[in-house]
Amino acid sequence: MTDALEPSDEHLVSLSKDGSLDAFNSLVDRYQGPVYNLCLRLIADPGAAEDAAQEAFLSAFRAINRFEGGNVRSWLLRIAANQSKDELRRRARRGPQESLSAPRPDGQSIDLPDPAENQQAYVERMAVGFEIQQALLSLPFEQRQAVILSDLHGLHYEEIATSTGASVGTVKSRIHRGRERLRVMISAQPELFGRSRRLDG
Amino acid sequence: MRLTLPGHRHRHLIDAFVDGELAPASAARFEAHMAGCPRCRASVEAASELKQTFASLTTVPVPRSFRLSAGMIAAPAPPLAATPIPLVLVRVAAAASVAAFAFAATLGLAPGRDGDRSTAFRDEAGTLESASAKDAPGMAEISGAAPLTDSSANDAELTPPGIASPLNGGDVAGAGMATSVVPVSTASPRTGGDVHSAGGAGPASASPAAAPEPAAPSSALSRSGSESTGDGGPPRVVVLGLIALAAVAILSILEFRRRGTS
Repeated sequence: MTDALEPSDEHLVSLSKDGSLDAFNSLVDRYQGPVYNLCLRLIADPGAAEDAAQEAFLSAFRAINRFEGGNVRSWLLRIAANQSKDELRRRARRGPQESLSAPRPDGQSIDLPDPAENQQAYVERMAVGFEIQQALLSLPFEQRQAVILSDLHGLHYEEIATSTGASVGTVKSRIHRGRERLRVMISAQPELFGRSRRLDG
Repeated sequence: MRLTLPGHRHRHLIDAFVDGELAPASAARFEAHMAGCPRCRASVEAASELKQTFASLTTVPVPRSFRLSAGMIAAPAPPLAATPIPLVLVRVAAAASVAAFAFAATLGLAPGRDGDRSTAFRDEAGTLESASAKDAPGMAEISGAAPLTDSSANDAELTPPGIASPLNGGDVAGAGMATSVVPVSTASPRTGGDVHSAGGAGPASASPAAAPEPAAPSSALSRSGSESTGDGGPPRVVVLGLIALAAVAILSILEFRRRGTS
């Protein structure tokens, strides 16, 4: 992730602990993609995900002196997940909100079209992405978080355990249960997923 | 399309294998098993494709930079963010305070004014009948015993069966409500006898001894709260009332703050 010319995470954390905002912003530049995407997949609302990501970095900066070392990305993703969870709680208290799962009047989508992609492929990808996001949203938060971190962010179980504060055994269980539910939900739409992928055994 | 293999004894290994999380020795054993197990092979293939399907979700470019500015970090941290208020505890405390106040007020005001006091039985149809001296001997010495009004049907439910009994001066059995038994000494110093409550018995089991003359089959002992506007309640009522008021005020403030921040 970092080459020889870039300072290590540990060095940037150390400088941040000394009060260097520039050093912390280098960490922001490095990890804002994963942090925002995690918030987006957990909340499924671009605007709310943006707020959660910003709050996550602000919280991380304020708590930087309590960071005792380890994987910076896992630590930031944990804070982002907590911010997303808080946002979901606030939204649950406010009632139903417009989200990614509902058609957006402005046509905005979280999956931007690739100019090189033909229209049919783009529509199919959008449809699959929409259904995947729908299926993810139906999972309990902890299972959703574990599946997203594993399959979308490529984290190992140990890293997910660090990010979620759970044991590796719990992470395994959450991923297994989450995928089982996802398989059932996706299998209910063979016309969508059968075109490009064969998911059945 | 079947995505799961119910009952297969290696199901728990499949996700870990697909994620590359099995220890090398375990992975080698599982691969050896798969060579002769078409069900496991199919499951691994399905799990791999599902994983790839999810991994195919596009990584979205960040809509803007999330770099922090000096102004952002200078702003004070939100006070409630780190330690959310256990609102449910406050709600329980407020409800308990109000209930305690209502209970104490009902108890405490009962012996306050003899002239306004009365006892009656209220049947399910809502008919209130004044207890006569014949039915409740202790009532004979109480002047001005008036029929109860039906202004406090809810109060009646909160009123434990022992409340009305001190005025009777005798035993009252089968009060017919499952609420707690009120100690006689607490309920009234004028009580002349024991008070019994038919614990756990419903209104339908009210004893004829406590029922009005044409003993209604399902009458409940009740007492009106309309006379509970008496003067000079015991200090404990005032104290509990203040506590309840404070608890409700705190709850209201927290609710408004919560709604304001969400």
